[in-house]
Amino acid sequence: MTLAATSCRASFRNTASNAYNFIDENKVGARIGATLAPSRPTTKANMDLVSVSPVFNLYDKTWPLRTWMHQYPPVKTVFADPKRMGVALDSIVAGGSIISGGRVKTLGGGLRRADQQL
Amino acid sequence: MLLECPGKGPARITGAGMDSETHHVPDARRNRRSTCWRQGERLWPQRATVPKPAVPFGGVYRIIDITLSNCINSDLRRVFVLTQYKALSLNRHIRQGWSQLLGLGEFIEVLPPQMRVSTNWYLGTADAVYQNIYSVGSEHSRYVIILSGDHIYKMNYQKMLQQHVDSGGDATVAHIRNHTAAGGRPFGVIETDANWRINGFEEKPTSPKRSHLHPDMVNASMGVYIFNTQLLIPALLADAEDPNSKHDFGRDILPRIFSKYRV
Repeated sequence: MTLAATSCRASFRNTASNAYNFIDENKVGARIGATLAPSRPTTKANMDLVSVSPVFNLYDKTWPLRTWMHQYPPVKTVFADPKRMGVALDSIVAGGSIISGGRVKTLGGGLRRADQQL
Repeated sequence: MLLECPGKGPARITGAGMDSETHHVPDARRNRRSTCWRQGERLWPQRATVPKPAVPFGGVYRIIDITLSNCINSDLRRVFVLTQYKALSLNRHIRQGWSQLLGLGEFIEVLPPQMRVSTNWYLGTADAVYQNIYSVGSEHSRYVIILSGDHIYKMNYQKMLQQHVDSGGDATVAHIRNHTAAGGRPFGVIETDANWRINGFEEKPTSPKRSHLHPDMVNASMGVYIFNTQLLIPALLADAEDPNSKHDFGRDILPRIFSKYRV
């Protein structure tokens, strides 16, 4: 047995380990932590964000979610013509998007770039 | 540290360390180190092109932002992100987006395999930390927090660290109660006594031990661990020498530490 293994065995002999009860910092009213399991499938979590009251709160200033914001142009929708109207409903639309001649509904991941196709 | 790969990409291991004397939280800030790793193995279509922590979330975020935000909001400002592959976009994201939040002596550092102690890529989450054991040790932190970079949750690691310090224990594992109906889910399950002292740990068990408070629930590990550096380093050394080990924290390191039948 190597020195490392020996010292490891010695260190573990008196190891005391404890469990920590998860305290959820996600402030969304009556929801409880268990509703937001870690490893929740990402697609589900993304789609959840477009709902009226998402489980994951992006608006809590006491627990901000930070990121690297890309420098994209503002979102715009074009064509007031009823036949070509660009509309987004129940969606997250991020900078750089142009919604043109189409109707987007429940877009969870969010539009991010102008070159993304609808 | 954050690792990814079936090994650990960055997932991330976040480590927090404090000086031995300074338990006072504000003063201890500069002595804290965080490491994150993330694991990119289970993920949907985007997996083919980006590691999971780099997957977009909510239009403008990436999954890694959630854990890193937790770190900053918890005032953990020494973070290693262990990453295995396809790291360019993640690297740029962290450098451009996160470095400005940090002060002198603080860092969020992306660490791909450096081939310092091994010629392998990261073989697992534990191996990823092991390969960076020099970086961990050189921070002289008393505690290391291991986190995953691909989870979606909000957690104040400082509260967990405080409990860890107060308990005087060697390791602390965060858990969340889960219904056993979800038993097929890929969780590690911890077994505790009435005082939340850990008696055992099983990775993805078929018949998991129930919570002592809620017989229909299990205490599922969240993949958030705090170790005393003094325990972690010998544990990693021993694991690295074990030819049968998969070099995974949940599968190898924790059972070895927590088993009633300690090796």
